Amino acid sequence: MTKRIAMAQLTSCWGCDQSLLDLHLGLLEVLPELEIVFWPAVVDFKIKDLESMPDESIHIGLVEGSCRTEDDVRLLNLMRAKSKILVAWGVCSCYGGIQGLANQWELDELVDRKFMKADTVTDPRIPSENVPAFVPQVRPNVDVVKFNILLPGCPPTSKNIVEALAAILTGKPFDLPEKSVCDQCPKVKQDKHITKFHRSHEGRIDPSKCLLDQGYLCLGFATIGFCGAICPTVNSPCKGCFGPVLRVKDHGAKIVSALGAIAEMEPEQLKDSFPDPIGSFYFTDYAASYLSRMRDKARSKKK
Amino acid sequence: MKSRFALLQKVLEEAGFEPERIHLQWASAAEGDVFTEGITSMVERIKALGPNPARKD
Repeated sequence: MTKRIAMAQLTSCWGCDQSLLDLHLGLLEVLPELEIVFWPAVVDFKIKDLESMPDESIHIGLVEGSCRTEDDVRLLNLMRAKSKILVAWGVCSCYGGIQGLANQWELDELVDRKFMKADTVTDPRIPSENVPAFVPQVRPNVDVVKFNILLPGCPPTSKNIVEALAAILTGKPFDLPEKSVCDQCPKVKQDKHITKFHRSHEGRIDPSKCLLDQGYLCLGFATIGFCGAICPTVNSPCKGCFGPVLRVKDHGAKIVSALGAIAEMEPEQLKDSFPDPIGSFYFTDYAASYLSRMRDKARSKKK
Repeated sequence: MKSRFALLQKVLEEAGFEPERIHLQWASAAEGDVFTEGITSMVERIKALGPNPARKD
């Protein structure tokens, strides 16, 4: 029997769909098992199509992106109601994604910057017709509805997606690895004596050695080993885009803690090394951080 | 520890919280006076800052 599958997109770049399509001919192995009942990224489904389905009539629901608008919140709740197994597809869905970094500012500041003050704006106005209202902050989807499976990644690799789907289709459990990116990285690690941090375009990287040992901010030590260390393997420092290692609750706090311990630098010098610490340490998961949640709480209180 | 503290202060500031809200103090078991002074100065500082507004508008 084929399983009914729905793929819904909230605020996101739709890169997770790209990653699924990157399976190319590999898709042919999975597709006969699936009946696609909702996938607006590819076919012209409307929200009323989803609404008209009975509750829990979808076997597998994949939700990509996070909630920046009230329509996103509606679609997320609808997907939860219609799906038996709901998958947080990609890091946006699990932890808020890059758009979670916007939680550093208030909504009116963001709207003002984007629609009124951006350098490319020639006709400054805030759109008000035929657009959904924004929500005050990006909350991780897992704070809004219950998910059955987390599939982090920016995007999850094609392999990650097909493995998760295969597990669901065969009724096997799907667990995320306990490992970090460092555990998957082939580079040689030595004692750390970091006296200066370099931007990734500065200096010359020794391809055989650990990037962090060489003073590049490679976040593999705090990041879940689910991607296969694809970036550090080709000498690009890990940005932490798959979110934290499973046992770590707050990605950036872990990174701050580790950097403070391994950098042989004066505190002020270390501080000046990172002009955008939140962007650097919480690249895709700021919305799930303690700081963002505290700010969210303060915002709700104010109202 | 001082390095961690410096980074944490910066992250707090970026997140919209006053970095003075956190305090780092060394005091051995024999330094009761250092400990109380540290706590007193922190309490005074926090009182002056007032309740945490997350960010002043």
